Formats: sequence, C-alpha cells, structure tokens
Amino acid sequence: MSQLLEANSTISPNRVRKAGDGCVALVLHAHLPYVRHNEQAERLEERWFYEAMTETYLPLLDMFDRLERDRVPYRLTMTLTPTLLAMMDDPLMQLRYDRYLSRSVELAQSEIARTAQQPELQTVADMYAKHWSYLLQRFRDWDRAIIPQFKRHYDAGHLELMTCALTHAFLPFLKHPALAEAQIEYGIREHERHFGVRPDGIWLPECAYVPHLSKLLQQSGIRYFIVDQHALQHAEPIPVNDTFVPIATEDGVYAFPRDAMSSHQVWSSHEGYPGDPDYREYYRDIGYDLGWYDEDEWNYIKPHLLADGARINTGLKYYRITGSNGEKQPYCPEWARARTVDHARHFIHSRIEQLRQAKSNVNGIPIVLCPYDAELFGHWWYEGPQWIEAVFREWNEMQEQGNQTLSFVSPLDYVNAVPNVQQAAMSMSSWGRGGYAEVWLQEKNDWIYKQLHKAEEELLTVLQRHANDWGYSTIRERLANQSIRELMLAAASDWAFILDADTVPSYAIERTNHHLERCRTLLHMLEHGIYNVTELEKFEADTPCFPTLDYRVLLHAVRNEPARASNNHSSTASSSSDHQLMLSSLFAYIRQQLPVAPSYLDANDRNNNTENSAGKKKRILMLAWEFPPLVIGGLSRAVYDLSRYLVKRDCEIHIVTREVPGTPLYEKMDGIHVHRVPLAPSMTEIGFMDWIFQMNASFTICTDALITEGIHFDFIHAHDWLVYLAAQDLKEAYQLPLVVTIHATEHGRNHGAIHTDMQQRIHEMEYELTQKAEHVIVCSQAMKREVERIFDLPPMKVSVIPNGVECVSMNSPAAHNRSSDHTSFPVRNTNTDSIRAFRSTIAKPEDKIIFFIGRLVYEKGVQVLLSSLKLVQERVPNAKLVIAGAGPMASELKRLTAELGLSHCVHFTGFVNDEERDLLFDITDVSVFPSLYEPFGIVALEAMGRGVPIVVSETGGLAEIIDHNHDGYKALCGHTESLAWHITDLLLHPDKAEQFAKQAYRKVTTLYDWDAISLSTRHVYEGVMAQ
Amino acid sequence: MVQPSINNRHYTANQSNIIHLMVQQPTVLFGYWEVSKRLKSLIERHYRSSWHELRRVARLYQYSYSEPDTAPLTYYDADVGNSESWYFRHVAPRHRYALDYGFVNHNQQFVSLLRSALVGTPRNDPDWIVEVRDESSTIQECSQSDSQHQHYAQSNYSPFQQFSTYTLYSDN
Repeated sequence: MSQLLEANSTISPNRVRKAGDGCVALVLHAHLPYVRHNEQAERLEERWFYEAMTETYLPLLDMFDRLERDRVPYRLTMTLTPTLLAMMDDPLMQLRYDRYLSRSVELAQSEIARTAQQPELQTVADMYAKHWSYLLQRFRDWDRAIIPQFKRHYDAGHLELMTCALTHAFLPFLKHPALAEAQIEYGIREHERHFGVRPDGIWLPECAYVPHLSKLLQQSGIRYFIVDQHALQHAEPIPVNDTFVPIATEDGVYAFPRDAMSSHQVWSSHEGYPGDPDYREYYRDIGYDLGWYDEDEWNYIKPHLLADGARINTGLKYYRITGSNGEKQPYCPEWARARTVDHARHFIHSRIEQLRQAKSNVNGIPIVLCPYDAELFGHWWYEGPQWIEAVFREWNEMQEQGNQTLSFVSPLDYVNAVPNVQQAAMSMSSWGRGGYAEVWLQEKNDWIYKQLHKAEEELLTVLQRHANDWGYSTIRERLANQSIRELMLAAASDWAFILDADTVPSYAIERTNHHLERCRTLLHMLEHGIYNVTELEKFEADTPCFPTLDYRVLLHAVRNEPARASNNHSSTASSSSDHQLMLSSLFAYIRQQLPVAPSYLDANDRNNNTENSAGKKKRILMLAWEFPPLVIGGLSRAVYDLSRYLVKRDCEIHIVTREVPGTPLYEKMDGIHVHRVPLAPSMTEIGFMDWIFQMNASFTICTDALITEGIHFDFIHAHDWLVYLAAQDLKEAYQLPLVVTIHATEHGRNHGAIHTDMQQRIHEMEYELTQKAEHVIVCSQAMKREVERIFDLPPMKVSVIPNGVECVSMNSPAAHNRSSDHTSFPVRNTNTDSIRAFRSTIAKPEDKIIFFIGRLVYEKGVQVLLSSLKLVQERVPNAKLVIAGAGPMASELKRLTAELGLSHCVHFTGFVNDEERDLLFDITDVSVFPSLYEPFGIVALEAMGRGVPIVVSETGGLAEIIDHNHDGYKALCGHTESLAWHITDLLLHPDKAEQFAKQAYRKVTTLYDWDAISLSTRHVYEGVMAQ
Repeated sequence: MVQPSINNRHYTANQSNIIHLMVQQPTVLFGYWEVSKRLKSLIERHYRSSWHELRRVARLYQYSYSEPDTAPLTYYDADVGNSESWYFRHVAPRHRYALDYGFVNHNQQFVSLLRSALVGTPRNDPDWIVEVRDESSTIQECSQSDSQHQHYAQSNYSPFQQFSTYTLYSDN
C-alpha cells in the first residue's frame, strides 16, 4: 500500500501541472447526524441512514467499482463524517440495515406482482428488486462493513478522503475555541482509526469559517478546507486570482472556494440537472401514494410504514419528473441514463469554458471546486451516481482522444502541486442561506446556544478542576469522555438546521435537550464523586461511537487557549484586553492564573478536606476597595501589612480588590493571594453609588468564581462600608462568618452630624455592616466608644487592635536586638549631601521645618495649622510649613494660605510617595497632625517610627498614641493657640524634642509592631470561629 | 437568596451571570444574557427598587474594526424589558461590537451589569475599502467617549475626582 501511496503522491501533483486549462475537483460531503436509537429501531430519523445507504453510499461504491473494473481513471474527494462513519461501523446499525434492505427487496418483489397489470410500472419495480437484491448481496459479501470499501478506493489513489468536525458542530458558534479544537482533533482521530492515516483536509461543517479556526487547523496538521465563494471575495487583501485559485490563511492552510456556477448546475431544483423531466421523481413514493381509498391497499402498504401508520418513503418511486404540467409519467431508466451522459458532457464542457475564461485572468493554475452534499446523489437525485460515472467516462474518452484540457484532481493534489498561493485573511462565512449564519441562528433555534454554552462552561470547569485527579480511576475517565461525547452530540449543527427548516423540530429539540441533560448528569457525578455506573453504562451503550474520544485532548486544548489568544490578535474569539475581559470570564482567568489548583477527590476525600480546613490553617477572604499599589488612604497599606503578617500566622489570605491598570489581575504578594477585579469602565456618566454597586457586584462575581474553583473560605474580613454589599451578599450566600474592620465612620468624618442623603446612606451601610458582622475591629479606644454608641454594638462585639507601623531601623542590625535595647534610635539622615540638597529645594539652612502629611480634607485640620503658623512665627520667625498630600481641599487651603499672607513660608508638595515622605521626615524639625477627627493616625506613628518629634491634636486615636509631655505634645483639638504654643515649644527646645522622639520611637517599636497586631487579629478570628 | 450546600456550591452563581454576543450575519448580531437571582437581589437592596420596576437596557458598543482597543465609535440602546436575548439588526459590517446589559438608575443613567467579549462583523461588501478610508472620520463622531476614556486614565482609576478614601466630598 505504501508503494501505491508513494506512486499516487507523485502522480497527483503531475495531474495538476499537466492540466491544460485547469483543474476540477468534485467533492462529496457525506454526512448524517448520529441517529442511532438503541431501543427504538423504528425511528423515522434512523431511516435517514438506511435510505442513504441504499440510495447513495452503496451505489457510489458500486459506481467506483465499475470505473475501476473498466480501468476508467477517476479522482473524487469525499468527506465521510465521524458520525456517519460511526453508524456505518456499528454492528447494530449494520444488522438493522440488513433487515431494512431485505424488507425493501421483499416489498419490491411484491410490487412486481402488484403492478402486473401496469407493465411500465412493473419494469421499474423489477429494476428496484434486482438493484436492491444486488446491493444486499454485496453488503453481505462485505460482512456488512462498507468503510473498508471506501478505504480500498482511497488506497488505490482514486478517492481522497477528508475528515470533519466530530459531530458536525457549527464551529463559529462554539463559545470556547478549545471545544472547536477538540471537535477537529477528535474528527481527525476517528478518521485515522478508520482509514489508517491522519487526513490532510477537513470539511468545516456547513463550510463555516471564522478567523480563529485558521490556527487550530494548522496546529492539527490540516492543510486544506473548503469555504464558500464569497469568503474569498471578501478576503483581505482581495485575492488577485478571483476565486479560481485557493488562498492560504494567515497560518498557511489552503482555503478552496466553492464554485457557485457549477454548484448551481447541480443544486438548483428548477434549472439544475436533477430537475430534468426524464429523471426520477422523488416525491412520488408508494409509501405516500398507496392506500388512500382502498383498505386492502392500505393493509398492503401499512407494514412498510412506521408502526403508528405515519407515512414514509419506501424508496419505491415509479415516476419521472415529467413536466411542470400534467400527470406524472412512468420512469424509464434508459432515458434517464441517456440524460446523465448529456448532462455529464454539458458539465465538462461548461467547466472547460469556465476555466478557459478564467485562465487569461489568473496567475497560476485555475481550479474549479464543486462541492455537494453526497446524499444529493442517489437519494434525492436518483441518477446522481450515474452522472458522476458518466462525467469520468466522458473525461476518460476525451483524454484517450488526446484532449488534455482539463484534469480532475483532489484539493490535496493541488496543495501538493502548488506550494505557494496568495495569503489573505477571511472573515466569517458559511455556505448556508445568506452566506453567514442565519440558518443556524434565528428565532426558531437561538435558544439552544445559551444551553450549549452553559454546558461548555460546566464541562470545562469540571474537567479542569479535576485535571490533576485522573489517572487512577477508569470510571472517572469514562465519565469525562462520555460527558464530552454527549455535549458534542448536542452541538451538532443538524439540530439547529432542522429547527430552521421546520422539518422534524420536535426531534431536534428532543436530541439537543437529551444530550445536554445527560452531559449535566455525568458532570454532576464527576463533580461529587458519586458514580451511578448503571446510568453511565446505559449512556455509553446508547452512543457506542467515537472510541478515540479522550478528555485529555480537550484539556490540552483548554490549556493552549490563553497562549493562542495572546499570540493571535486578529482572533475575535477571545479578548485578552483588560477592559474587554468579561466579568463572567473571570472564572477562566482565575483558573489560568492560580498557581496551585486545590485537589478535589471523590466524596471520601472531600470529607478529609473538610477536616483539614477545620484544622490550624485558616483561609480568609479579605474585601478591600484599595490595595497596593493602589494607595489612596491608609486602608490600603493597613490591609496589606496586616495580611502579610497574618500569612506568617497560618492564615491563607485572598484579597479581592479592584483592578489597577498595569498590574496583574492575580499575583502573590508576600504570600498574599491578590485578585484584582476588572471593572468595566462606564462609557457614560454614572453616579458614585452606581460605581460602588458595580465594584461590589464584581467582587461577588469574582469570589463566586474563586469558590467555584474550589477555594473555600473560613470567613470574610471586610474593610469599611465600601465593600458592604459584597460582604453581606457573600456572607448570606455561603453562610460565612464576617469580621469587619471599621477604619473610620461617616459620622466621625462629619463631626457627628449626618446632613446629606449620601452621608445618611453611607452611615446606614456602616450600620448594617457592623450589625451583620460577627465581630468588629477598630483601631483605637476612641473608635470603640464611637462605634458602640452610633451602631448600637455591645462592647463584647468590638475589639481594639491598633494599626501597626514599620520603623526605620527595622531592617538594620539593631532591629534584631531591639528586645534588649528599646532605646536604639533611628539615625535620621539629616547631614548627607543629598539630604542637604533636597532640603535646599524647600527651605533655607536656617529655617525650621514644620511638616504635615495627610489627605487634604477638612477633618485633617490643616486649616487650623495654617492659622497657628502665624502665631508660631511671632517667636520663631524662620518657621516654614511643608504640606504634603492631595485631596479635595487643596485649592481652598492654598487660597487660605494666600489670605493669611503665608505664601512665602508654606510649601505644598502635592502627593508624595513613601520615599519622598521619608526624605521629608528626615528634614523635619517637628511633625504636626492637627486632625479634628482621627480614628487612628497612622502617619503620626510613621513619623514616630522615623524619629521625628510630633505634635498632635487631642482627638480619637491620636490622643491614645501620645503620652502628653513624655513622647510628644497633645494640643487642644481645633485650638489655634494651643497648637501654636506646643509647636513653638518644640522648635525652641530641640533637646526636649529629641527626648520626646526617642520615647515615641520606643513606644512604636513595642506597642505598634505588626507581629503583635497580627497575633491579636488571629485571636479575634479564632473567637469568631469558636462562636 | 441562594443558600448553597457543599454539594451545589459549584458552577452556580457565576454561571448565571452570563452575557454573550454572536454574529448572525454582517448586519445582524444576537446577544443573550442572564443575571443571577443573587445579583438581582443585590441590585434591589442597593437601589431600593424591585428588579422588574427598573428599566433594563442592552447597550451595544460599536468599535473600529482595525483598532478595537480605542474608545467605542458609538453605542445603541435597546429597551429589552424582561427579554433575555436580543437581535441587533442594521449593525455595520466590518466593525467590532461589545454588548453591555444593565439598567437605568433613578437619575436615568445606564448602569452596566455585564459586558460581553468583542466580536467582529464580517465584510459583506466588495467595496469595503471605501469604508476603511471613512473610518477615521467616524472616530471623531464620538468625542465624548474619547474624553471619557482619557479621563479614566488620568484620575487615579476612580471616576470621581471628589472621591477620597472613604466618602464623597462635596465640591465646595
């Protein structure tokens, strides 16, 4: 055989090169949906297969044999789709077909007797009886296996065979390219199983192409496929050779255009060959004609109809098409045969003419590709196989007469002979009505896609989640394979097609739902590790097809998907752009990004898992609206520091926060899992509360996806009202305990008064959040008193855990010894050249620098500080104020500075980063935090940790941090004179200031250490878990 | 409210928040969507309004074919009522589209819930080259979206300039 193939591979390209005017490729697409019904032999739909066997597949093989016997060279290309091959290969279908054909023979023989009085009809009955008996004999001679017969002609080099997507799915409508890749690869494997080689060509179901298929085909080793003619006409750039030469896709796969003119000659029922008056009339079958007025006749035909008496085609059709008017005349086989010869000649001469005209405009060898549904030949156009035979016999005669103007080739011959064709990009197209997808997507059938796509999602989710569990359980592998098989059978384009045509819609609906239901049942078994083997066996027995189907192929395809998307920008199948990343596809991204897939075993193992999760390690969902590198207030940093120290205390922290452009959607920062949720930007204006809603909705969807992926949380830790909606939703949905940290209250921010609707709304959310929480954490005693009072919280429900701070010498060797020497003091870099240079940009050498850092909002009290500055300057004229930070009050503060005549001694830096902040601390003589409301005051601690003397206002958390006249000064809150006096005192007494700073540093390193704080937080968690 | 047990936790909530846009032909798109009960109840809680009383809208964004990463050229709104799918007819061939599903808030502003991936409509006119040439002028038509887009890039990722940390400060 290999020698034969070798010979063919040389002959075939020659056939192309030697073509005078060009090439013609006849392509027959043989396909039927999988209509095997295990327990119901009498299904109408199963007869589609039997009828096609009798009228198309067996006659085609017989025709091939005749041509071979007579040494008539022919070259034909066929697709035998995997579903069709599966039925041809199926012993039950073979047996049933044997019975079917036997009964057809019996009926034909009884018809000879019944038509004794009508010799013209009797001749036809005799023709059927002889023909069918002959086919039955051959079928039995072949042990009912016809696939090897096709293979024989393939091996001989006459027949080229293409494959097709496994279940003839309309590939552009599969939601995940991985499913399309699997459909293609499974189709190829089935082809290889039947014919011994991987195919070179594929028939894309319905000739439906979308750009993302190009790469998939190329990766599968496919070298050519067929598209509708207009796909090339709309290609970019427009092909220079019109549609007479194939193009190559961007990945080098050849796309052959269907020739519209020759298609029309064969397809058109009115103008095409099959409409000739001498050909057999398809619509006059005795199954429909007999028994209308005669009971005996009804009793005679009834056994050959469906059990319920429904009329069907028996195959016995006595009439020719005749004419459009008048009574149908009996069929005359000889006349019809003569017409096939006429039509064959017409076809060849039309092609020669077409190629000659094309040749002058085409650079290269023109090819006319004529693809047809195989079942058109024989089944509908009864003489079709004879016509094909006549075409090749006519061509042979022409060649023998020395006329070499035209060559019949397969597309593969052309690919081999013409290694370079123009490259062009095609957009979506199909050969269906309208040229796109309206047959498969319109009001009658659109509902199926949501169902199919949901099943795709479920299938891929379950398969991937269990991807690491395989390899030890045959049952699990069978479940996986069968679930894929069921989904793919549901996705056959045939069902949508039938719904469009409205032929047997109930059957199409039933089949779609039936396979989807089974797919879901199997996935449920896989997911929960509870196997109903009897049910699995029944499903398998009902669909004994595609033994090469292997779930690993699909898994492999899924893993390839992200890489392909990022390499292929022209693909519209999946968008990798951040803004287009759908919320609903978060799911997919998390799966791809998560480094360690949690292991899901079966039911027993799951119980063990539960046991583990009750053990020492806790998994915590942190909801925070800001997280580094997004830093707007103190919350971001506080959540980050707390989380990374909790990680050291056996906590697995998952932060769900919002996306920051330029940072990964998922990353592991210091052991923290950070999930940044993209928020689709609104194209038109929305309100602030709408934005809060969208953010929370996205957080819940993201968390759902995490949980779907098997990341189960022990509880939720939410930070502030901004995540209230998500926190309460997730708490209720998953019955999780909720810990809430209230960093500040709306009540406090507004000095105890709630004025506007917005303030009222925020206050209510804070109230609700603390009510829903199992426990509330605040950062100071002042906050504890505040939240207990305004949110009606019992004292037991509220814990005070201060925020922590990292001190300057933490990383120095001294830090390791600080337990023994708390007096070790950070050395501020005040005298280096770079610091002096930096200082000189802001102040003169003799100036005294007062420093404020914080958001420029009313409650930070900067306006009080500005007023004090005038008083300070009375005794310290060279005092200069540096204000770092940004905020809504910035312009107002600048205006105030000007009004007070302080512009010369006040410097606004704007927003500063951590590094700039530290530099400013280093040149500062005294740092001032004049807040009117301050739940905690983290910046004050940061100043203390940097060795900077500080003055704070006596309010909230600030008041608790400072021990007055020991490690700093507390001025009366909002009191200009008090603030000025204390600042002045420290500026005038640097020794005292340094002593305060040392004491303050010691306090920070002992009381506000993150390690201790994380331990306190862990204790709160344990308390909540114990409730 | 969904109360999943261990056994039905999987593929539940996120599966029911879905949106998908499909190309039927160069001038017709089909979109479908589904919003979970939980998300609907989140909306009802936040907006203090029944889901069915909200005006539900499917918003189709049109993008340039060759530069889909830039701001949309324009958009179309469809009042979809209770429908969970929609045909968008008379769309332009050789463009890219994305679909949002959402609702209109009390201030008549569209609040998006779900956004589809981008799809491209095929060419159907041999004269499409003319269309390419015209594309640069159509981009100008949507200057509002353009400025909106730039605004996001500048404002520290928050659409509200007055928003600072915990609350929304007034402009005064």
